Amino acid sequence: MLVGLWLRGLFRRSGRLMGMAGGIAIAVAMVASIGSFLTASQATMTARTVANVPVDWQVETQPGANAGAVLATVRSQHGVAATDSVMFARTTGLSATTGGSSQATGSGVIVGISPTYATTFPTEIRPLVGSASGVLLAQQTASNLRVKPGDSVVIGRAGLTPVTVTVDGVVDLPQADTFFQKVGAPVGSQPSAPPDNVVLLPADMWHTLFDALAVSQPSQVKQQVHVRLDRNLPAAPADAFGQVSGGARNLEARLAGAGLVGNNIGAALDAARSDAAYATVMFLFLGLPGAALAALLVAAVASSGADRRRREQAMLRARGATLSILARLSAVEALAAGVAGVAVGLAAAMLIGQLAFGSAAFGGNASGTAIWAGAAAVAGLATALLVIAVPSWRDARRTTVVSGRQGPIRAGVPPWLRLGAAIALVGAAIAIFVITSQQGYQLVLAPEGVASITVDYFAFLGPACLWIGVGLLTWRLAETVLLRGRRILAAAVRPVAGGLAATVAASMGRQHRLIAPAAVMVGITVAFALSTSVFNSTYIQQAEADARLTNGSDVTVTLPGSTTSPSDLSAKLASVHGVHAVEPILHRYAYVGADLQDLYGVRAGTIVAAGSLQNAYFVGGTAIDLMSSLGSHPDGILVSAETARDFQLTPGNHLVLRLQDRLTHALINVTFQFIGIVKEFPTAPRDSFLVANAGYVGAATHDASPATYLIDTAGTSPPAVATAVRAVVGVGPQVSDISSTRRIVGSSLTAVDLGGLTRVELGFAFAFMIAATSLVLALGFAERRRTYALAAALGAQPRQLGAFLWSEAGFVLVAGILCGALAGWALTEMLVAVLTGVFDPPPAALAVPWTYLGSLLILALATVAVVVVVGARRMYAAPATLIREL
Amino acid sequence: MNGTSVLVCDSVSRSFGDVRAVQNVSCGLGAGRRVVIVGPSGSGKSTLLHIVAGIEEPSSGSVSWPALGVREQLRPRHVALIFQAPSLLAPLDVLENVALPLELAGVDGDTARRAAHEALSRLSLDDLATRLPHELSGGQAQRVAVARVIAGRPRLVIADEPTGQLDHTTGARMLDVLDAAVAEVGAALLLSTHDPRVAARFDARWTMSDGRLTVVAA
Repeated sequence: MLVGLWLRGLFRRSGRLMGMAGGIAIAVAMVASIGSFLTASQATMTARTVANVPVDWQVETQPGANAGAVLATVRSQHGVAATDSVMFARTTGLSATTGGSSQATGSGVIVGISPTYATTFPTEIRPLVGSASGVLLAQQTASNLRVKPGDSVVIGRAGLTPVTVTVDGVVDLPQADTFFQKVGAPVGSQPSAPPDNVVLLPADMWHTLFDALAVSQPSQVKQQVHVRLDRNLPAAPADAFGQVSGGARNLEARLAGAGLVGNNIGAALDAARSDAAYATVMFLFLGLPGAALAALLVAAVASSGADRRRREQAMLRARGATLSILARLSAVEALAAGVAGVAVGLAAAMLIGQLAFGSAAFGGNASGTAIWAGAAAVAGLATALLVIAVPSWRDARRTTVVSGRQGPIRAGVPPWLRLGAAIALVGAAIAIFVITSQQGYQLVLAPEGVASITVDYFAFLGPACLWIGVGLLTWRLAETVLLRGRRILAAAVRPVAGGLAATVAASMGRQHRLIAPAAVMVGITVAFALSTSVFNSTYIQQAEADARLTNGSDVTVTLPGSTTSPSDLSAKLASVHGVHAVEPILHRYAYVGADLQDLYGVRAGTIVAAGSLQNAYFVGGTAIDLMSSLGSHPDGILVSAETARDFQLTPGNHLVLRLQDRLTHALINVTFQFIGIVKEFPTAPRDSFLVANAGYVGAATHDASPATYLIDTAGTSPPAVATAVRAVVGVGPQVSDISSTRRIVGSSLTAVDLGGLTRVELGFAFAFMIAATSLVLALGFAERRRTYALAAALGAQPRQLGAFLWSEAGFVLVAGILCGALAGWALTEMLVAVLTGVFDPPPAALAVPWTYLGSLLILALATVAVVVVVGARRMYAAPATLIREL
Repeated sequence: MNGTSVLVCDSVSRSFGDVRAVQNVSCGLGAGRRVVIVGPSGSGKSTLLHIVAGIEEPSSGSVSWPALGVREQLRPRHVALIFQAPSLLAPLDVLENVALPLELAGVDGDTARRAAHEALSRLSLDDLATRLPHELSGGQAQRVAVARVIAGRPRLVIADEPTGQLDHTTGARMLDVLDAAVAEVGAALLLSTHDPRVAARFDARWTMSDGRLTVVAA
């Protein structure tokens, strides 16, 4: 009965209840959205990882074992969807005579495949020219032999007579590294390079030509069973890795030494596990503060009605209500807000999923979404009980009838706040940050081949301390200004309060317990929005930098190693539709002492723009500085930090490199002058390399032929330009575009659409900003409507009432933004440092999304303006109604 | 009466939905006059006081303040209010509360505070100047409200059951203070009460019943 009456009363005065339910809804929607996104992301990582695996298992028959028995055992293995036998034989060499000249290669591998292989494993072989079946030559081999379909190639066989075959087609073997891998190599061993010369034969022909070799020299021949699994894998990469690894070990046990399993899919999932762990960590770092912020928002809304609640409790107790009844009524209020918030929050999460990812389940499976929805609902109800029912119950126990009727409890600054807890927490955060970031630690450790993943959760302590510390520090600073800086405050509010400035400042000072937490809410919201948006922007910036560094430019043409670039190629490329500029780069190999390093010859005057060189690629100056220096020193050279250290180079030192002369094919000594250090360079490997002037390198080696062309498309679709360029350069040169490179170089973590998470998080930041500025301020104003009504009754004009509201709102906004901006910057730096493992290359500077942040600021100002204007009007119009209650 | 009238009501009515709180009231109040409105709770006393204070507008009829100006000019300069419940602004101390109407009227802060000090001194409330409202008793809070009236030196004081929440002795003392203060500034006083002992202190008495006003003695 009483509960029903209480509920009806709550619904009649629904504003605060709706505010609390709204806060819970945001928390629930945030947890459900980001959790579902995480589950979906992990499933996406698994799906994308396995999609890139051309052959799941390569089971190699061991010497002396029965190949047929191995095949039968593999086919009977649980989870195997398709199999195909592949034979390998070593050739002593290939030769061909075309156009009146003969070419010969060194040793190579002759592969025998069945007619169904290309359909069972479609990404292993990419037809380039001629037939897709029959005798196929790898692109490099065809280039070395200068043959085309229809030409004849002689295959040497150890101890047997050579055989001649007719080429049916030229193919690319994009997965040659795994196709020719050494099965059974120890974990962590260096991968073996694929053979330079490869010929693919139909299985029947291979058997005709090489069965005799298998008998005479078995070591020159091997057989494998290539396996495609049914791919019915768990969503999380770690679980999928466990499943396929277990299956591979089971198969090896069943083969009992007759075969070894090359677990390609396991290796791919092994690498994805750490990315998945990073994704989880990112969720925790970026999502949990948001959920906590939403809970704080609910607490702020609930606490803004504390005085009203105390008065009502006092009234109820005066009329005989027991503590047990008060507790039940508190629980009813909490549950009403909690249930409404959970329902709205889950609906909002589904809507967000639909809008941002095209599916209410965020692209993931229904069970993962249901689990997160359940977790979010429990968290929402727990939040409601924690921030509504518990404080209410605490008040009911502490507050007497008399004190409750008297109105606000004027407590001072809490001891834990007064005793420097804020400083201690910020100090602890800095200390943890320094310790973790200086030890070169790895946040996520997933040892290759080991099932367990270690996440260094100690690193979470730094941001956690910083979040709490800056919140408390904002509170303490706001309290200090409000209580002790009344003169400064009066001067600050004078522009809006005029002659009332001193009174307004005094009023604000005495309401510090209401105003300071509001500033904290705005500050934490700003910090959340700033840290999230800057982190996400930096992440996207670095993913783009990684792709650009790898590909070199929008479209890159790389000539095969032995090919000399036609002199008119640059002009031909420049004439292709969509090509804005072409930048040639020389590529040579140079001996630095005994080290063989890549040497890039560039045009110092144009490479900065053409290669989008960033300052972070260089040490000791900007990209422009060092390229200017290179331009002014014709014999100048930039080397890696490692090379400079190893060879104890200082600027101005001479460095003698050995380069191959084009005319004599002999190694010649060329002297360079060391002028600086380069860390990264477009198309260059990650380890040691050298950058010098193209003109100097070309003159010294009698070879000015570029090996690479960087093409700027100036906005035209890179894939479209790449297609047009391929038509110009033919089959030899490799043409890559940045769009494809983004997909290839992105780890499975970066390949996941972080943009979706960004949209969700930044959207929530907007919601938080509206809620923090409007709900907290509006409810605070509403709580003091009696005060403002009295002022209006005494004769305060709307402008004068507005002075009180504007001053208060202005203080909350300015204090919140200042502290929040500082905290947000510190948090972003900490996040980027702690999560440095997700960045490749590490960022030289944070990317600040000014447009977004500007929009957020405008939104905050607009919301505050609306709240104050509407509030002042309502306060002025309200006195008659309110005064009647006095 | 118009030349010195601070208030003229002509056929004033005020309805809230179906409830007619004030019905066809016509009355006037000369400068410096003291009038009490008596009547049971719900008779429309407060609504009429709100209308004559310019806080609320009548549904029909007209109200004017010939000696004071138009509605927008009434508060805080010419009309001061005292309510039944303590009516001090919670975040301001006693001195700031007393000075507030003056500051709202555009008086500079220092002058307003000096006037507030004088008003508090006159009522022997100096020692309460830095107290906050919640640190005062009900009687003290109402005396501070009277000090606020004195400081503003209004032409019309409207008191809506100012002793309603005080015991008789405290209420009587508060009325003594109010009487003296009103006399000192020469203001007219319109006070509502349902306490006959309070009403007995006034020569002029208006009676309200079911929203209708009867001038018993003028």
